[in-house]
Amino acid sequence: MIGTTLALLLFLPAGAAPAAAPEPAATAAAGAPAPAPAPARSLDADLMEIFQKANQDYLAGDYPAAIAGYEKLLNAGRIHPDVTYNLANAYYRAGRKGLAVLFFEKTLAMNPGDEAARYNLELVRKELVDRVMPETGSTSAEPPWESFVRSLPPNGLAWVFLVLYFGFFAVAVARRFVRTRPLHRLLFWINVPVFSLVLVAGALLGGRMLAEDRIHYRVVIVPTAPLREGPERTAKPLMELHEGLKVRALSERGEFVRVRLSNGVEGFILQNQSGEI
Amino acid sequence: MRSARHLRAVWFALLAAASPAAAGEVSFSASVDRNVVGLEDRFTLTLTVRAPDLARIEKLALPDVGTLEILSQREQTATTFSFSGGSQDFRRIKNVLIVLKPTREGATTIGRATLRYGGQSYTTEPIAIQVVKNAPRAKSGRRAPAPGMSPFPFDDDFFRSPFDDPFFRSPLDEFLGQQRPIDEKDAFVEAYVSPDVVVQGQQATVTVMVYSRIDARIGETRWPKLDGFYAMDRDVSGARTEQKFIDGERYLYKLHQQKALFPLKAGEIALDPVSVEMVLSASPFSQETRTLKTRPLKLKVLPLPEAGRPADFSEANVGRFTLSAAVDATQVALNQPVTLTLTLRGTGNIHQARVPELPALDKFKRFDPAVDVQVQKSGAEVRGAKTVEYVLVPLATGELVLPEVKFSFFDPVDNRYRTIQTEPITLKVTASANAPPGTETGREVNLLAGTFKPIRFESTLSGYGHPLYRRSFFWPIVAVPPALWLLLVLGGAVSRIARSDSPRGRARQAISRARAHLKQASRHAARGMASEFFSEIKAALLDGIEARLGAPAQGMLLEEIRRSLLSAGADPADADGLVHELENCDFGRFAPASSRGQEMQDSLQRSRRLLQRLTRNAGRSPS
Repeated sequence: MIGTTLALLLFLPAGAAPAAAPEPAATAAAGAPAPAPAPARSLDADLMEIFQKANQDYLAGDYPAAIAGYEKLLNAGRIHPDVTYNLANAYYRAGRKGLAVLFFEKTLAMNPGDEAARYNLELVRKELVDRVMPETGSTSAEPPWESFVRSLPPNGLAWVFLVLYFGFFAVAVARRFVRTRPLHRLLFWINVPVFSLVLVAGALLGGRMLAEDRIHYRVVIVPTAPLREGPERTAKPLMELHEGLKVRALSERGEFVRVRLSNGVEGFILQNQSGEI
Repeated sequence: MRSARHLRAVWFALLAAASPAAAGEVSFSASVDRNVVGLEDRFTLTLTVRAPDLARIEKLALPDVGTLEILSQREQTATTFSFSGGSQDFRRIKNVLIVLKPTREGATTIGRATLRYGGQSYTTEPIAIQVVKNAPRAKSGRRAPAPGMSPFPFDDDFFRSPFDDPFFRSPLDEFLGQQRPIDEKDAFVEAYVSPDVVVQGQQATVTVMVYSRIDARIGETRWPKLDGFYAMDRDVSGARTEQKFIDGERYLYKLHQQKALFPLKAGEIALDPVSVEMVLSASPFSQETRTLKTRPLKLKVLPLPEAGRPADFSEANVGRFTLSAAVDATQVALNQPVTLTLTLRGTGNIHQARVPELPALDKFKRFDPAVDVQVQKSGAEVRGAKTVEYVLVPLATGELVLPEVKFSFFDPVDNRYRTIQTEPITLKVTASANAPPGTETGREVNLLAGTFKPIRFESTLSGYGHPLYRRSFFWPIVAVPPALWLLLVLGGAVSRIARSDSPRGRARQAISRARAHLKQASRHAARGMASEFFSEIKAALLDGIEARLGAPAQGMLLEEIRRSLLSAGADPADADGLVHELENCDFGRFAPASSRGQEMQDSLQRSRRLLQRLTRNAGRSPS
C-alpha cells in the first residue's frame, strides 16, 4: 500500500497538488464574499487576456507579437510552464532556436513530466547546427544521478517525502501508546519499510535541491558565440558555439561566464550570449 | 620495493660491466641468446658497444639478418666504472637488442654489424643460426642479461618485447635513461590534408599524427579557426599506437585527431597549424611540457562547374548519394494517415544535404516532415543517411499516385552532376466504411508525429512558482514531527521520574521487584535449589510488604510486620499467612535438606496468592 502511495504521489503531475488549492477567481465565481481579492481578480483577468491575445497572435503567425505577450506575462511574475512552453514555440516559429531551446528547458525544469515540451525540444535539437559536436547527440554533461533527480516532479517528490515522513512519525507515536505486544510489534515492522522509503525520498529530494543549487546550465541564444580561453574579449577563441547548445555554467567572471561542454572542453562565453535555465 | 630493486639493478650493472679493458678502449661485439631456434621461436641478438663516450658513435649499422625477420629493436645504455691500479675508469655501454624470428627452416647467418666510432670502424663476427622445426625448449628461468646490464633477476616483463606494449619502457630503461635535454626530434606532430584539391562541398580530411621516441603524454589540442568550412570531428578512439623507424630511430606514432572539412567556398585556403600540447619525458627525472605545431596546410578548393548544373541543384549536395522512397502501407482507408519516408544515403555532407521537397499533393493533406540524420562516427569518410518522414492523409478515394522525387548532386568522383529520382508510388485509398481486408483502419498513428506540438490555449496560469520545498513553510513543517516526538519522549521521561518519587511510584517499583524475585524463585525451584529459592521468596514477600506499607520492611521483626500490615488495613488472615510464609522461608533457607520440590512449588503458589491480595490496591499485582 505504501509502495502504491509512493508511486501515485511520485508520478502525480507536478501541478496537481497546487492546483487543488482554491483559486481566487474560482472563489469569486462561486459567489463567495471576497471584498479584498477584487483587484487581484482583475489582475488575473488582465494576465489571462494577455495570454489569450498572445495565443491569437501566434495562431495568426504574428510571432513577434506573441513573444511580446508571453514575455509580458513572465515579467509580471506569471512564470508558468504553459507560458514558457508557448513562448518557446513562438521563438521557434520566429527562427530563434536558441531561445526556443532555453524556454523548453525552463518548462521542463518546472515540470519534468511535460511530454509536449520534451518532444518539441527534441525536434528543435535535431535542427540545431553544431560544428563542434554534430554527432554526439548529447548536448549536456549531466551525470546520470542528476538527470534522474531532475526528471522527478519537484512538487510530487516533496509531497511523497512529506507523506512518508509524517506517516513514519505517526506510526512511531502510535506505537508508544499501544500496550498490546502484537500490535506494538506490527507497528514496528510497518515502520521499518516506511523509514527506508523516507530515507530514499529524502535522498532524492536532497539530490534535487543540490542539483538546483549547485549545478546550473545555460543555453547559447545567439547564432554563434565564441568560446574563449579567458574572460576577456581579446582572449583567444577555442571554438564557436552555436545557438541552442546547452552548456554547464561553472562560474561568472565579469561579463563572462565559464562553461563546460559535454565533451569536457571549458572556456568562457559572454553572459549575454546565453540564457540561464 | 621496486625502487630498491632498481638500485640493486644499477649496482649489479655497474659491477658486472666492470671490465679490465684499458681506458679509452672501444669494443663492439654481437651475441645471440641461442644458436638453435625453433621455427616459431623468438630470440634476441644483442650488439654491444663499450666505449668511453657513446656520443662519439658516428654510425651503427645493423647486420644483415638473412632469412630472419626483425620483430623489434630497442636500446639500453649504462655507465660502468672499474678500478685499476688505484685509478678509476668510467665507461659507457650501449646494447642494441634486436628480437628476431625465423621465417624458414635451415641454417642461416647473421652478418657483420658495423660501428663507426671516432673515425674508426669496428665490425662484429658473423653468427651462425640453425633453425629447426621444433627446437628444444629453453631451460626455464630467466634469460641472461645483456652485457653491461644487471645479472640480477628482474621480473619477466623486464624483457618484454615492445610489440607487447608499444609504450613499454623497462625499469632499467627508465632508471638509466640518459639525462639529456629534450630536442625537437624526440617528438613531433604532423598533419596532412587529403585530398588537397577538392571541389566546393567535397570532403577533405585533415589528419593529425603524433610521433615520439620518448615518453610522452598528449594534452590539449587546438585547431585553428575553420571559417569557410563545415567541420565534423571523426572518431579516432580506435586508433592504435604503432612504431616506425625514421632515420634509424624507432618512433611510436598514433593517429591523434581527424576532422572532415567541407569547404563552403572556392579558392586557395591556408590552414593554420594545429597545436598539440605534449608532456615529454626523456628520463624519470625530467619532464617538460611543449606545444608542438604542425606545419601549415594548403587546400585548393575548385568551384563547382557551371556546365551541366541542374536547376534544382543545391551547393550542399556534393558527394555520392542514393535516394529511396517508401510508404508504410499501399492500401489505406480514406482519412487514414500514411507515412512516406524519403531516405537519402551516401557519402558527403549528409547533415547539410538538402532532400527535395515533396511536390504539391492536391489529394493529400500533408503535415510537416520529421527529419532525422544518422552519421557514422568513425572512418575518415563521412557517411550516413538522412530520412524525411511525411505524414500524408488521403482526401480522396481511388488510386492516388505519390509522384517521383528528384534529387540532384555533384559527384566529385565522376566530376559531373547527377540527378536521381525515386519511383512513383501508387496508393489504393478506399472509403472508410469499406476498408480493404487487412487494413488497420483503427491504427494508432500520431498525426503530429514529426511536427511541433501545438501551443496551449487553456491554462490557469497559476499553481506554479517555487517548488514546495522552496516555500518558507516547508522546512518548519518538516521540523514539527521530530520536535513533537522529542517532547513526547521528554515528557514520558519526566513523568516516569515524577512517578518514581511518589508513594504509588515506590509501590509500583516494589511490586516490580517482587515480580522479578518470584520469577527467579520459580527458576530455582525447577533446579531444586532450595536455599536460593527461599531467599528469593522472602525477598519477594518483603517487597510486597513494602508496596503495601509504603516503607521498606527489611529489618522489621515478624510481629512488627504483622502489626504494620494490620494497621495498613490488610486482612488479618493475609497478615498471618505472610508472617507464616516468612518463617517458612527462614526455615527453608537454613534447613534445605528437609525441603523438597513439592514444598517449594506449594510455597511459590502461596506466596503468589498472598502477594496478589496484599498488593491489589497498591499497583499491578505480581503474577
